Amino acid sequence: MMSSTKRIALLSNVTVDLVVAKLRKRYECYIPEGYNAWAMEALNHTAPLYAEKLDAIVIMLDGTEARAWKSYGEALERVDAWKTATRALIENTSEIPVFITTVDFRVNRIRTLAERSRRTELENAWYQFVQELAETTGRVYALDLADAIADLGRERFYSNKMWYLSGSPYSRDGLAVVARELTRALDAAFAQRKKIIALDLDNTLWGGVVGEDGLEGIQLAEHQEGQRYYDFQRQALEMQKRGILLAVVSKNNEDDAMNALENHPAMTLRPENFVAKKINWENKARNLQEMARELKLTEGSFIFVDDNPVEREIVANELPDVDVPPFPDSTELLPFAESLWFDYCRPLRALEEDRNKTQMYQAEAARTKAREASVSLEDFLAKLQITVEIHRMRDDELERVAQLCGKTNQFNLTTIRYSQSELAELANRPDCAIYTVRSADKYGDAGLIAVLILREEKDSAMRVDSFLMSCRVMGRMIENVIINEIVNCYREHKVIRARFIPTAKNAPVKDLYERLGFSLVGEQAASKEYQLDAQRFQYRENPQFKSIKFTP
Amino acid sequence: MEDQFLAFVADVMEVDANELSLATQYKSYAKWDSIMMLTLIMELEAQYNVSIPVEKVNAVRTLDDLWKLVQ
Repeated sequence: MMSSTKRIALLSNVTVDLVVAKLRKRYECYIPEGYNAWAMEALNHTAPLYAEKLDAIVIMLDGTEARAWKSYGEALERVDAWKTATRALIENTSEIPVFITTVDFRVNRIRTLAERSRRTELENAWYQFVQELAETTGRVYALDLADAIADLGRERFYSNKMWYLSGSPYSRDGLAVVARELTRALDAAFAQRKKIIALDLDNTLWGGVVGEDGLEGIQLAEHQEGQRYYDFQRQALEMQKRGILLAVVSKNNEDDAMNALENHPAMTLRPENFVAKKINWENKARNLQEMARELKLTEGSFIFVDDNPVEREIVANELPDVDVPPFPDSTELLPFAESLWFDYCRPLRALEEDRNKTQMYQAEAARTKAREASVSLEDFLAKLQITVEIHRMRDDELERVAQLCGKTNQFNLTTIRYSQSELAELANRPDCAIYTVRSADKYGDAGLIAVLILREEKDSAMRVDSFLMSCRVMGRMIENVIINEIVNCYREHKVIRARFIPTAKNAPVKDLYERLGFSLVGEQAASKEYQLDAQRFQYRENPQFKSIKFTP
Repeated sequence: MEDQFLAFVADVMEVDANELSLATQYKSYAKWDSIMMLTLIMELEAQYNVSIPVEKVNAVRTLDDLWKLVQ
């Protein structure tokens, strides 16, 4: 699912028209015309490549030409030329992701056993280069195509015939692998990803039926047959650590199932790894619907994994938005887990906040219960024991701030999508201050949840350039605390200005500035202009918060 | 047999089988360009379990030429 077809540039040293034909249904491709045109265009900042409006760039270099390289010296020169072109490409572009594949160098094999091959040196040198770019730019991603080639095997991946006929090195199967790997990488950046995997228990997370076979009787072990399920659980746990939620939907006696999850010695996934559990004899489609409602997730964010084809069909029919992949033979659970990850879940990267996602959703469910048991909002907020910490953005927060600027829609007053590099620049300006806000309550740490950017105007008034907050913590009056502290701190600037720019999604904050005591001083179709007299501003105590810490 | 061949080619080209006949010509039929030729060679080799020599590929002018190569 994508909002619009994304346009990418596919840069390669071989003919990739066949690859483009395979990608066409999902991605529009620009390819430079002519032999080695990729490098020439990359080096020339006036090249047509840079006039394209691109959403991503893929550099996919093929190692077949290494056969013709006469010496290791020549090989290093060639690879250096690739590096130079790649660096130029990074310098001549900004923001968009750049995927660079690993290279399977097909070096000359006519050599004696005593001669050195250099294949692995070249492979490592290129990979090292890509990884360094990944770390320094934050938008380069290594795509391990050589690994996928190894999985299929060179003999099946390449086709000499295609190479001599067309300059495209791939066989029919090889082409499918290339298309799959590129699609998976691009989807990680652009397609709607699944957020939660709802898992059955019997014959899915372990072999056998716990209600009949008992705790000792189920197949789950670190060795041999039981390892099929052990490996599957380990893979699921690795996904959970990277922000994918896991849940249980099982027809079982709850006591039997919980006993197994809590006490089986080889169980990798324990009760706390699941964000929600529906262990009962009800219809699984109903259970999934209810779970979606309780977790505030859409049905479209679910994958349902069950060994029973009848259950799968019921869910697929009743909940068409839920993805229901076919269940594999139990010896193939490990590759099945990988395909769940690559085809449905894998994001470009996981941040600290993503790693704690399970606890955050569990905490949210606990809060919902606490709210239902509270007499008033104040009562509820006081019970939450919220702490708020406001400080200037630290370097290690830059990535998270960019993520929030990029994806916050509801509580976002101006919706300016600053990139990481723009934010870094703003942070260094003397007339600008970026504040970050962290919050926790007794149920958990929400992490960095709000950003406020101030800029000083010519008349020394301060302007709230951006103010945004994660929807997870909306409704807790944290915005009052933030404005209270900021205005109090910038009193000497006399006037605080702010603006509301309506979008399709930010209606929840359309009256925010009125509510916070600002006066409306100008109104246009596309924006509302506000002002606050900082010197007459009354600092308010916020006793319902457990602690408020502000560091100017 | 020929019908099956034409149906398979139509499938690969993503066109209606009625548009094709053994007389359909390489390059004058818009969908059958050089990229499609390569795709057809790969798909036909897999489907009919044959290996088509490079020289023969270069001599193909019509679907009938291809049909002869896979039999």
